[in-house]
Amino acid sequence: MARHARFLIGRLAGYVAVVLVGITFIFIIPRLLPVNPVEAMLGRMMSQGAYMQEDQVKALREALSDAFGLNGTLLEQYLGFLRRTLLSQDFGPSLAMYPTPVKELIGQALPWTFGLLLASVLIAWVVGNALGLIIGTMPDSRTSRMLEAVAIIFYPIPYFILALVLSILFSYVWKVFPLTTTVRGAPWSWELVWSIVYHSFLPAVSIIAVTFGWWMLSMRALSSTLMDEDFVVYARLKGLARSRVLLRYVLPNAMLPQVTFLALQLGLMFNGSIIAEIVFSYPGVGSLIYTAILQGDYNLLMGTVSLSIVAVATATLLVDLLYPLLDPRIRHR
Amino acid sequence: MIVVDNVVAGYRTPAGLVKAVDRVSLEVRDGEILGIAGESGCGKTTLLKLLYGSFGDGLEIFSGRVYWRDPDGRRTIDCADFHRHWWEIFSYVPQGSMSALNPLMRIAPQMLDAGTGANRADMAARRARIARTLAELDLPARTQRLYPHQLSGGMRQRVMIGLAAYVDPDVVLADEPTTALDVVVQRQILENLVRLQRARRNTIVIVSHDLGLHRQVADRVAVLYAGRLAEIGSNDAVLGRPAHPYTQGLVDSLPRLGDRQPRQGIDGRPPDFMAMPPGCRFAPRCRRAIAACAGSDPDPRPHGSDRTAACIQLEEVAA
Repeated sequence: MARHARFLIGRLAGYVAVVLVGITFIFIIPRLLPVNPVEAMLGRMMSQGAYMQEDQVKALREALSDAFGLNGTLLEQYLGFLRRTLLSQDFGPSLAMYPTPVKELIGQALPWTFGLLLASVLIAWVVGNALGLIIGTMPDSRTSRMLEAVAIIFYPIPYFILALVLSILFSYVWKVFPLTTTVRGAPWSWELVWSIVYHSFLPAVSIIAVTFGWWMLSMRALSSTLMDEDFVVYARLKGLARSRVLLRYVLPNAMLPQVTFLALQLGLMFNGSIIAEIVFSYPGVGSLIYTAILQGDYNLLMGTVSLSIVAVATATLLVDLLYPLLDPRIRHR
Repeated sequence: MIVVDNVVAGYRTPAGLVKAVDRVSLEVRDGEILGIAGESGCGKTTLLKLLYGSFGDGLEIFSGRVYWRDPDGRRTIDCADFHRHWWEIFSYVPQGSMSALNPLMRIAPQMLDAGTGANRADMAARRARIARTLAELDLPARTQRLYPHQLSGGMRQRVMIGLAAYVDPDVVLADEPTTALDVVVQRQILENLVRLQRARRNTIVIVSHDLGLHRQVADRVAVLYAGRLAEIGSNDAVLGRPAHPYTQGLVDSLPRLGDRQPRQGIDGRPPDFMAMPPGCRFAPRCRRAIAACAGSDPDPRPHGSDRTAACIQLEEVAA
């Protein structure tokens, strides 16, 4: 028990440390930029023809500095930033979509991204691994060669090209799927569910198409190596049915590295989905990051980047906690 | 009893047939420990696969027959059907048993997980037998619930022997069961193997290149050379007073306690299966070879009461 507690505390401490360091970087980096966001914003207002009195400008500057958390010493700013981001996830108002709070924008976008990523990455993972197990354990069959060819064709295509091609083919040329995402239907109705599936279909397919090949090829390598392992050869010599050998001897052992990569991919895809969301005009966090960068929306950028740091760290933590359940050698160390 | 009747077996390759076992006849008698010896690449493992009926890797019988006959002589099973009786009549101790256990499964389920459909009934009885067998092997009862990485090398090896023995099969086939173990553990393993065999009166076939092991445990020893049976007979006859020059060479190469003379090995290496020398396959390396050896590939013939050997010059060796 004490060992388990130590393991848990260690992993959780690591998690907190990673998030803290990440948030600290988010705090520091904008402050290293030569641009003062308050002055930049005031300048933009002036250039747009807004006329203001000296004291109005001063009051506005005060208010904006406060909204950006730029008042007080650096340490006060830092502590205030930590308190607001970690405790109430408050990143202030978005500048591009003023005065909607960043928190609200992310809250609206997050389910979209989360749903799309979780579904497509998991589908690609399950399909890729299942097919990889098949072609890895019967490399000489015709099905295997065919599947392998498909994987090798899809795997190296750069994602943005595939996404664009899919979008052009199925939304422009052959208008099967919509160009933009506008869902309709009452909450929790089938119409809404159908609408979401319909609008998410192309981005999901594009993500699945570029990732499943990698899962398949790595699973093939893992399982074909495992087929020659002494304990698999012996399992067959024990007279076990082929399916049993695959499911109880090959698959669990091949799953260990695949689970690790799954979590890492979920985290990384969070950033990778930017392209998917831009190409398919998908209302997720990726589109928010894109807007934030284009329009110099510091608050939104800090919010979305913090979110992605937390996402990657959480995914890694989950794997760390899941791993001992899959591998007794780690459990008993 | 397993009968090997004039069998030619091996693999089809693009370069032609590889006859890893060539015109071999022998019997594995009920209740005996038979040792199969020879250098690497002499067909030992192929012969063991035939005796176990394992054809999964492309092994083929080109001519001859291998079959099992029950002690009453009422039932025979052809080796093509042996696999239906794995973990019932036949069981197997693999080579490299350090890694023959699935690292992600506990010991008991791995031991239960053996045999094909029909003979997998009655798991409760099997469980009881596993517990008894592990106790016989001096393994603590909790071993069943452990994972392989929690066992020492010797314990794992004993688990492997228990795995092969707990169903009380008629024949246990062991492929280099003690390779890669230190001598102390090797001895314990052999003692355990023999103890289980004495208690259950089952038959054991051990393949090993280690003549010392055969001398220690085997009742009879078979020596293979280049796919041919060179000599087979009682332990004392074959390893004590070898008749075939190849066996002689193997025995001479062994160190002996108190003997300080330099050991003599056999020069050269076994021939390639694709380029067999004409006549006796051992002749090119044989110290006693004469001109006639290149012209005859003799089958084993009796020499004394308790052995047969395949050499045209047997008469010159005391029986």
